[in-house]
Amino acid sequence: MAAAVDASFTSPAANADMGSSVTNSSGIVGTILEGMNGWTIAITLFAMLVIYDQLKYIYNKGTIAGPSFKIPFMGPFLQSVNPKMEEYIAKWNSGALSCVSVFHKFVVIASTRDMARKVFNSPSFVKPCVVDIAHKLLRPTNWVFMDGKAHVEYRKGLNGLFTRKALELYLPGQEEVYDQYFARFVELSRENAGKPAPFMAEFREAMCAVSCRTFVGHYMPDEAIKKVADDYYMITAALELVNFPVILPFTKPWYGKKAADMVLDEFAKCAAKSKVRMAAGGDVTCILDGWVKSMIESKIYREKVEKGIEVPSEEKPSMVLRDFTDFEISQTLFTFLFASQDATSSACTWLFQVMADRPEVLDKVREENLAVRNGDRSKRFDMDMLDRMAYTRAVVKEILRYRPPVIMVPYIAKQDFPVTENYTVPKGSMVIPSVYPALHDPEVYPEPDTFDPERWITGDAEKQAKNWLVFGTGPHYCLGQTYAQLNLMAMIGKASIELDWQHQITPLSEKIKVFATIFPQDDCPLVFSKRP
Amino acid sequence: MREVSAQVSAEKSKAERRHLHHEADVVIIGGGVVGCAIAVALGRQGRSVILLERSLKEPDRIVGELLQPGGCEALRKLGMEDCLEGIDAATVKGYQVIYHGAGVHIPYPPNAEQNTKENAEGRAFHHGRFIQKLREAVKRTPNVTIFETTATDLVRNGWTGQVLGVEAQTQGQKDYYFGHLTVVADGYASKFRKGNLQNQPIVKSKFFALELIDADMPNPGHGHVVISDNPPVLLYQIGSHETRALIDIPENLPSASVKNGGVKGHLRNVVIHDLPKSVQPSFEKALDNGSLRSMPNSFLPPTTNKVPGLLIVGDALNMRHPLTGGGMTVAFNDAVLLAELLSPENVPHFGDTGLILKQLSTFHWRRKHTSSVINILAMALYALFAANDPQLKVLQLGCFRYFCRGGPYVDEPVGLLAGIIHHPLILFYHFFAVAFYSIWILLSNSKASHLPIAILQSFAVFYKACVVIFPFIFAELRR
Repeated sequence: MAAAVDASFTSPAANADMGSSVTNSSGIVGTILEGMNGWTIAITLFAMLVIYDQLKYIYNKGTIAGPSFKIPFMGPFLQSVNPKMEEYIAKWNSGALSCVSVFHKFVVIASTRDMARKVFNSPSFVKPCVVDIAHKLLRPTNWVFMDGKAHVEYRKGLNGLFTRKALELYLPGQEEVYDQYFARFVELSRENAGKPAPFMAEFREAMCAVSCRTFVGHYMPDEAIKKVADDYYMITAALELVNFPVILPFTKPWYGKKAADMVLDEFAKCAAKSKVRMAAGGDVTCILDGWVKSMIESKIYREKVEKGIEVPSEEKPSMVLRDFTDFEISQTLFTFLFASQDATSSACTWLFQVMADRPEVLDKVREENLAVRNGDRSKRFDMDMLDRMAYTRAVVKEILRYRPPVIMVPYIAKQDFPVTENYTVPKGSMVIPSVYPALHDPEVYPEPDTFDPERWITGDAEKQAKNWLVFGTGPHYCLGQTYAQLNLMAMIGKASIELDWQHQITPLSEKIKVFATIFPQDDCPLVFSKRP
Repeated sequence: MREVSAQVSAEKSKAERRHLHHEADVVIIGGGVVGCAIAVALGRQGRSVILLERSLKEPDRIVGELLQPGGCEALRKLGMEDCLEGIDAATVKGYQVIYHGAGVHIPYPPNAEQNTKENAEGRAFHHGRFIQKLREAVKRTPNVTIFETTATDLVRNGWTGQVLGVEAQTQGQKDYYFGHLTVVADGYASKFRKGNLQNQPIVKSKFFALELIDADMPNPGHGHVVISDNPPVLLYQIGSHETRALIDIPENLPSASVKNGGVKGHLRNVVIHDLPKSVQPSFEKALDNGSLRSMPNSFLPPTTNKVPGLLIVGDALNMRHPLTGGGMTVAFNDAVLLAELLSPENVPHFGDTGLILKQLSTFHWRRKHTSSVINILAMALYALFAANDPQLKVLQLGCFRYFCRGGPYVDEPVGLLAGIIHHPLILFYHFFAVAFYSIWILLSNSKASHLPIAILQSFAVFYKACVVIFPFIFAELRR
């Protein structure tokens, strides 16, 4: 107690010194601080951030093409909300590499064939990011975001699901869906008193139903397929190149996320059901079944090996898989739908439009499809039949070249990426190889803006493998490319012999709308009727 | 016309999905009382229904033989009253309670909800015959397919935990059935409670059963309850010639110990002497001839179904002592309520799992009007009728005397028991009326010199009454 009292009296002088040193310290800093208030601080900070944002953009831009300045912070965000084909084409024409900056993202666009290929084939520098929001919709753990060895391994496990033998198993399911939807197309036109109506949305639903049937068979009830097809629109609508950094309620990304969660839930349910059905010895009717079956076979094999039982090499599964959880399976199936839905809907819409506008091409398709069925229109399609449809195949390839559904594929730079001698893409930037210019290169495909299936038969289009970037290239090339082409062939072939359809040509029919993939701006007004 | 044909083709494609893909709106596990009732109700509403039953052969069991008037009424609401025809069912007009040899007649009152002067009636029958009738009704119902298979496990979405259907064994082969809603209706020994229900059944006694032939009943057309110093005995006719005797035997009953000749010894040495003289010969004969069968008497208070995609009903969800024969009455009333709550007007599409969960929460509270009354009454009456301590004996006597007063003193209690009065407060009122009446009897019968002791005793009796009923009331109030 005494000590404490003493202490308070020991340093009166020291306390006094302290006080005087504070009051005397008004130097330059003090003068500046005196003239400051909250507003001026805020405005100054803001101005500094704007300048930083501009300088950073100009620094990142370096030698490549792009606007000299960016709109503070958001850049051409509003433009990317409503993307226009002409703007993309102008961008591609501005240089082999060009750039923009939207919010926090610096975006480099690679337009020429060789520059695009370079990006596709540089897995050590870039990895796919699909689009900005894809991580949130597909979940960051999704296999499409995997990189390097992990990605290669995962992909190997999926390869078996897309082999010819596997694809053949899914054909009956696909044809069932086409039966259903072709009848619906005719019915819709009849209800509309035979007048043309936009069919783009119908095609989207039909393609979604075909995809779901192919991926998960009958595990998904019809009402759920309808719901997924309906709500998928919101997922596509959310797929802007760059989004506002957080998901705000009642915005497109918010609805998209909700729809994505619903789809993930539906697929997880399918996965759980398939596991039970396949364990009970069910036959493979869809991609999911095929995958689950190889998991079961792998498990049996692993257990035998663990117990030290000798397994003959011919009984060893071609790929020994681990068990995947319902959610993992669901995420992967979602990527299949994600990859197929917009792209096949786009191709399907253009196919119906272009066939209607070019009756001579449609006649040839029809002729070929009758021939491979030996004149029997009711014959169900099979792999052998599809193999013999040379002309139909050319039509599908040409539509994919003429109107490539996916015009560009966003990647992200994992590290500084020296894409040319003169330019290095900064780490963290988005790098977007474009495929449209390569597919419309007049030197490779003469008269590139003409739809001409003959170039695949009598011409040399088939040899131009380097320019055929419709399904990408490199380690992330499209896993489902064979499936997609067979599906489109089967669809248009079946339609040609069962349906007649007329296209109402409008001034917007050949104008391209970008909605994740590309569509005619008038949404393709058509009338369907049953072929006599 | 086009609409009709569209509906027909929709029904056809749903039937195809049931057969080909084993998929429906609803998968019901158990083709018993409640399973059949729900299958019929939902099938008639146009839902696609799969009903799974382990064996479609006529079951031979000693449960589910008495349907209270309230159960018959619910069956009528379900449009299934014809299931009571052609099974040689016996009409039940009420009860005859025999207390240490003295009898009191307790007829069912008229059903006040129906504006009728006619007294309500119940039915008693052979369980198996009734079940076969119910299954025939299911077979006649559109949109329902029955599969003979054994459900082994629930299928769940590994991500969300939602129940998606059932794993099964069909003739030794693995099988599966999928639906938006899985209904667990597999009875008292349900395999699917664990992890899905908070409560598990408690068993404190068993019913041992005999089938008496041409028993000479003191009051034909009535259920007989025999109360004595031993646990209660039930006697009721289940066919033209057959009468069921159910003898309650609590765990570790001394007179049923191995040393005393086991259950048979207990029946032969003790129980038979409590029975009315006229019944004793047929009872003895049944003892000599028939094999003795038994069922556990379980208590399982209900809880809300909270697992998405799952509905647990019937004995799997909720059981009470079978003394009052209330099980099937609860089951059919539940089916009526579910048919309303899950109707297409209330739940347009069964894929809407969130909405179904909400409806099931409503179900939990609305079923209380009928089920709580029957549950609490069964448990409380059993406590009184199987009285094994002095306070309970006081209450037992009070209860008997209360019934002897007739009029509203029996009409309302038996109306509650019959499932035709749906007001839990009326039960509460009568229970405490019995308690106070018992205390009044206790006090008025005691000599003046013993009054202080009697007053103390009456507090003990009141305390006992509270201890008997409140746990059962609280059990009903749980979510």
